[in-house]
Amino acid sequence: MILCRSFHIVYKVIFSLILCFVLLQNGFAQAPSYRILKDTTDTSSIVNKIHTIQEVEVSSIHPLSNVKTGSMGISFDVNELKMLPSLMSDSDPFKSLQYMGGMSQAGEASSNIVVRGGDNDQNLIQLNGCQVENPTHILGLFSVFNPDLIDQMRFIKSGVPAEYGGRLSSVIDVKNFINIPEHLQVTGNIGLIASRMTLKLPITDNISIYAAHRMSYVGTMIIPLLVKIGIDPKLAQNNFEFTDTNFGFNYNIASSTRLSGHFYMGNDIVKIQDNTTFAIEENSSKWGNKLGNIQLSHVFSDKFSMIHYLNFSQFELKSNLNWINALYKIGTSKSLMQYKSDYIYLVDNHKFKGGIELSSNELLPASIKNLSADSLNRFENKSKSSDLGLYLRDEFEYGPLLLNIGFRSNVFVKHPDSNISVSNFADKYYSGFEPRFFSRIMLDNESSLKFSATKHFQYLNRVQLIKIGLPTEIILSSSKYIKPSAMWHFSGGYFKSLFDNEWELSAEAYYKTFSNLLEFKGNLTDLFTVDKIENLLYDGRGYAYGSELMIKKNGEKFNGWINYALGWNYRQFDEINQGKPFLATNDRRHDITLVGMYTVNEKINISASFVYATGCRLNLPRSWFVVDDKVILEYAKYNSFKMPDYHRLDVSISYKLKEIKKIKSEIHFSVYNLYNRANPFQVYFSTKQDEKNKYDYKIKMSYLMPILPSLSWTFKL
Amino acid sequence: MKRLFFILMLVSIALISCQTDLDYVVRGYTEKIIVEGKIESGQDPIVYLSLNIPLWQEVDSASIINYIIRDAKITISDGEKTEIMTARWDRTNFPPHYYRATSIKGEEGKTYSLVIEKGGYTLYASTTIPYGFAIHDIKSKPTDVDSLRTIELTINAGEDNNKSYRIFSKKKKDNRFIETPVLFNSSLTQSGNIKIDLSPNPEKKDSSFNEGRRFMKGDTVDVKICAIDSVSTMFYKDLSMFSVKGGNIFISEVKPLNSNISYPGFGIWCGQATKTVRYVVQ
Repeated sequence: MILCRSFHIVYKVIFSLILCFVLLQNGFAQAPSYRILKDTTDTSSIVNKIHTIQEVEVSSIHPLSNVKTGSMGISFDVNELKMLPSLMSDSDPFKSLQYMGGMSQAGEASSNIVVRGGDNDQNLIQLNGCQVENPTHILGLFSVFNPDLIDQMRFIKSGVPAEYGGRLSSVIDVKNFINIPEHLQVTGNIGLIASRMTLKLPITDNISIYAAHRMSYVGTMIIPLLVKIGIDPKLAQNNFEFTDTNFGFNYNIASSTRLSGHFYMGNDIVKIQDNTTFAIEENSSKWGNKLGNIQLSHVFSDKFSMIHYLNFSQFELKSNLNWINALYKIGTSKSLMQYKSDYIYLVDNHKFKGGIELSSNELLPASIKNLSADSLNRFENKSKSSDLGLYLRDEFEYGPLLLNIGFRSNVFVKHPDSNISVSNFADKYYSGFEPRFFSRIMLDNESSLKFSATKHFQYLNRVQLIKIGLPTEIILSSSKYIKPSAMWHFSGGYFKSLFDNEWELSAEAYYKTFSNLLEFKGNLTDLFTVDKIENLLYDGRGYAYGSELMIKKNGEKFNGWINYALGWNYRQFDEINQGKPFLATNDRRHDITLVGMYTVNEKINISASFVYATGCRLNLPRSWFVVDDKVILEYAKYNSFKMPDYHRLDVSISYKLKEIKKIKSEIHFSVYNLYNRANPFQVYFSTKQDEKNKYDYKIKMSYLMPILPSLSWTFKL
Repeated sequence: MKRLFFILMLVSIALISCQTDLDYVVRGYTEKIIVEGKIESGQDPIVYLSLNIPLWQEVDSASIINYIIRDAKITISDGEKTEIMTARWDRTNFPPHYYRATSIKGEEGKTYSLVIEKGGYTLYASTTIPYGFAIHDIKSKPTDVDSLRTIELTINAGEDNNKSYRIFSKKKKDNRFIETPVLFNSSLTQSGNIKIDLSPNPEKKDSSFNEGRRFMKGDTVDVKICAIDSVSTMFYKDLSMFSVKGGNIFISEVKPLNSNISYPGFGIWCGQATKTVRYVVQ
């Protein structure tokens, strides 16, 4: 904590000095940005690309990558994603992933990421190699990834290569830029509820540093302003804020050796005060990620290279919850120290990649205190565990056939709660072998078939305590009471490029089986009385299957795509629904995305997106009665109720302003939810008794985001 | 500037939750006989019977009486004697109609079975009144307000720890006993002396609402302690989830209740070992 605070102070000083320096200087060049449509040699800019091996750095995307690539992942043109309409006109490539096939639009103001039936905690989300636990701010309105810093973003929903492990469902790998900029660059965005600024400064030809800061001002500026114009003052007691800070350096030690460091700190607070109209009682949550990464890469020859990573990540979540007339304070935290190394060796047409990953985890699974009764506390001992992963894969191509075969082998050790020693090292250990197989066969130059089969284990799980809008979850590791979660994933598809890649088509199908999934079966009050939290967990299974279709248009003026996904997602717990399989909460039968981006001229870009998803599942009651003066609800078959379908249309337009004193800027105007669809946010029960003693017991739905125009200004020095 | 305010106003809508009725179709509604029965030590057994009401059904004070079961036959047995319970009215309670037996009284350690016959259905339930306990101590504790106190109650649970306790208090000005929500020890390992802070949660209709969870100095308070067995414990523990005021919008579901009434019944038949103590707040 002291180290992190020191970094924060140092960063603030550097940021201030650099800002002063910037204001006194003139003439900053803009690094060119362009889309590569064919093989191109660029000698006009000083963008250094030391490494050309794809696994180390990918700074351009091959036009036929969707057809030819050795995985079913998608590497994004980040600049293209920035053109998509987004909330509050702030381009967020990570949020734009929702428009890609395979990722479900989970709901309004939600931070959940659901990929092909997986749960939210089953996604490996990395920033510069560090694991990110909650990748969003303010319940999903913004992501933790600063758009000005993202250089690469990769989304892998199937055929996950062996170098990624620890999660079941998908991989979202985000990397900050590592090139040395030509000149000082200052970029930023000023929006209605949040703003950001980024500095990238070359120190020498081989060293650069960067710093970026974002913050929102909903509670400090917007809500007080709204109170002045007549909004209910009680609502002013609510608060939604976030801040995050990035800083780092890139150092080209030699032509083939690079050292870089990236650091991130983020904080969120969501606070809902009492509101009798909505029967809200005081609930608040604070959470934040702290990430640190040092990486050293070296290219020995055109055949052999390596990268070493030293990663640190910390996540902390604290919630105050007014529950059943008592105030609870719930906390959980996770710290991870990790060393990783990747080695790439090319021989003939084989591309070997292997590596090691050694992690040390420290969890505080749950800290729960009843503030209304001092005697009621529960502080779990810190849970310590270690994880060793070894992987090896070979990608080789024989004619039209490409095979990527590998494996990942894990040993997970749960340490005793007492002092760890050589003789007292492991309370329980698990070993896992994860085969990873991927194949692609080119049917011709522009079409291919792909198939993958992979196995995954997950040793750390986030378990939701109660299903409420605010995050109230605990992090548990595998132990002698909790087995690791596991999944088999089979996926195949046909990929086609037409008319010199002007059109792309794909059709994929998948099947997943899950085992040892966890569900919390108790109430919050149980946490004070049981000896082990594990006794409050159900252990179950699941399976999901479906298909995804995509048509994409790539053009100079117009780009766009249509995605359609059809899927089923089941869970089975012996203690729920009388042991019969039931549809999972995140079962979304149909998921459709339409996106269009049009370049009107060199100044104006317009874009539109339409998303549709079948409503998610809920366990809602079918009747009520009174016992002990309390209204009791009687439930139907588990998750038999489907929420109303979710759909909305967003549009945006951006206009490049005239350059003034070397400052290039754009105005973005967007409208979120153009036709004002009332998409469900939460469902609750309302009991009313009118003056005629008439009882009206209804289920009501709340929605959060009506039509929402917004404006922002992006600038670049 | 006006445009800015207009935009800001629209922005504000994003922060305010709007609500609308849900077009909800009740699927698979089945009628169930709801049973709420209790037998306290030294007291007559009492049973309330009603039907569950579909969510889409509007009810008022006149039509709700149709959901009260007034023509059932309830037979109670303690293993030695059997009695058919008689129907009575109590307009101060909901449901206002109940059944009562007068010759069978609750005794600690005994098991009581119910047989309910209605409309061709027969329901069965059984409960045991746990063995007793002793009230070890009761005392006042100061608060930040000079005229108000809290009460700490100490119960001696003895060696028989297979039970939990429901605590009620009634201040002089209140018309009813108000329950103190407690954490039910789901593993039922309480034994020896158990300390409980009385923290009743009066509703607006209660005369002591302004005092909240505290007691007025000098007030005379009746404290009722009910010991219940493990089956009843699980029911009342889950019941506490439904105490949330009319729909916290951030809570989307709760887990269904357990019941010790056979199908097609639902509810609780609860045996309680009860002690009451009167205390003047110091």
